Amino acid sequence: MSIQDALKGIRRRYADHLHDHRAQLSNLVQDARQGPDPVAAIEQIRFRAHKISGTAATLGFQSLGETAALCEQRANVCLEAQAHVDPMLAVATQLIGRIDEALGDIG
Amino acid sequence: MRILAVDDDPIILEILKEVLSTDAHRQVSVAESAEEALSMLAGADEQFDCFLLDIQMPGMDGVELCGRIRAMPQYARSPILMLTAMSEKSYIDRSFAAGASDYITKPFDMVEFEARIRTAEQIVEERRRAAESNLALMSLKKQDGTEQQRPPLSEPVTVADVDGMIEPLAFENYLLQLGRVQQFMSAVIAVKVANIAGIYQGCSGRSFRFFLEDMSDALADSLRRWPFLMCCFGNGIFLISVDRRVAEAVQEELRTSLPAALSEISPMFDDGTPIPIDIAVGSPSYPGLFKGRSVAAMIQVAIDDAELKAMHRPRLATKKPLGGAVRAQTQEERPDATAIAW
Repeated sequence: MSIQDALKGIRRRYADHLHDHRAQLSNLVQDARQGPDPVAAIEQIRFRAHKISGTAATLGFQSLGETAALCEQRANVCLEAQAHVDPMLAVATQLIGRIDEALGDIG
Repeated sequence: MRILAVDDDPIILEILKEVLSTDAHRQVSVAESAEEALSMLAGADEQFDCFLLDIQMPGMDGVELCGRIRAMPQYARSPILMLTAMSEKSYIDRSFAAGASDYITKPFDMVEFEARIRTAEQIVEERRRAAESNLALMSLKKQDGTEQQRPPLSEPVTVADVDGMIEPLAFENYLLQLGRVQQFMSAVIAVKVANIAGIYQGCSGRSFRFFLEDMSDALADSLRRWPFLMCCFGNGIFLISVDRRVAEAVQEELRTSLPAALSEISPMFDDGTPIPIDIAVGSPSYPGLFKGRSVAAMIQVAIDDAELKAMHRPRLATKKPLGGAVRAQTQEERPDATAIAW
């Protein structure tokens, strides 16, 4: 079996992980806006974005990976400066949209 | 090749397992944490040949795991490839300082990934062959009572348990893995033992290894004020990578404090006489930012400079013949055993 064939099989299983990331990210964006512990929510967004950025492009989801990397970077800035929350949340929302696109591609 | 891949992300483990298993010669085991990996190592019936370690994991991170694996004698020279989405220099520095051999960033470029794995396989295979031929040679020498085998002078040597000392291949990989800007911020300095041929002639395999360890200790001691990585490149050359902003200060420090550090350690021949050491410290070699000098070229320039300095200095006088070997011609007598050129 070629590497590409091996990756195709994983792409289908990756959908389950993306569903989970999507659901969690939606809740975390809400928590970062209105929850009792926005810092913890942003840390979790960063964690999820980090995971997605490490895997998505390997499996062929280039733009999902790039948006995830940007989201992780914005979350880092946000946590360091303790500011710039809204731009980070805008990217996190964009990331959710990219997950939907990827799930549509997987079918 | 038996590979242990460690990552807390099950999808990454799945990718690694699938991709690596496309070659039937590879057996891949996986662990989801550093702790699980360590217990697998403790209970393994058969040794692993190669490790792939994620850096950012909950609990013990990949850098610490790398250090723990490297500390196990059976894995002192096994390829350890770090896998991470982070390409910041501090992580790269920490990984290589902990003993990593190479570094691959996520997401994986499959062509590059496969090439790195093949390099690791070649290393494992070459070492296996070398170990087998060493064993055969040692058994022959045991029969005829001759001394332990001495590695060729030109061969890069791995010196263990010295701060900042990494394998020569890892040293080159480290520089290659730095981004262009980070690479631009680096400098390489070569230190040459100018009379290495004479020292090599006069030493047994054992005492030559001790000498290289002593040299490494003295260098590490002289460099302790700065972050650095170094390797023993063969032919009496030690390569040191430092931040370019401190490179000239490092060069100066080596010129001034290395002789003292060596005198304190006082390397010796097998018969207990001190080894006279003649050192040339090269000038820092820098990469270009836009007209990118390659890493190999940067290293070569550093080596050439140190070699040139070693050649154009008065030869060191020695009072005692080295084990009957032919010695370098003497031009002057020096009271101290260690001399330095720049």
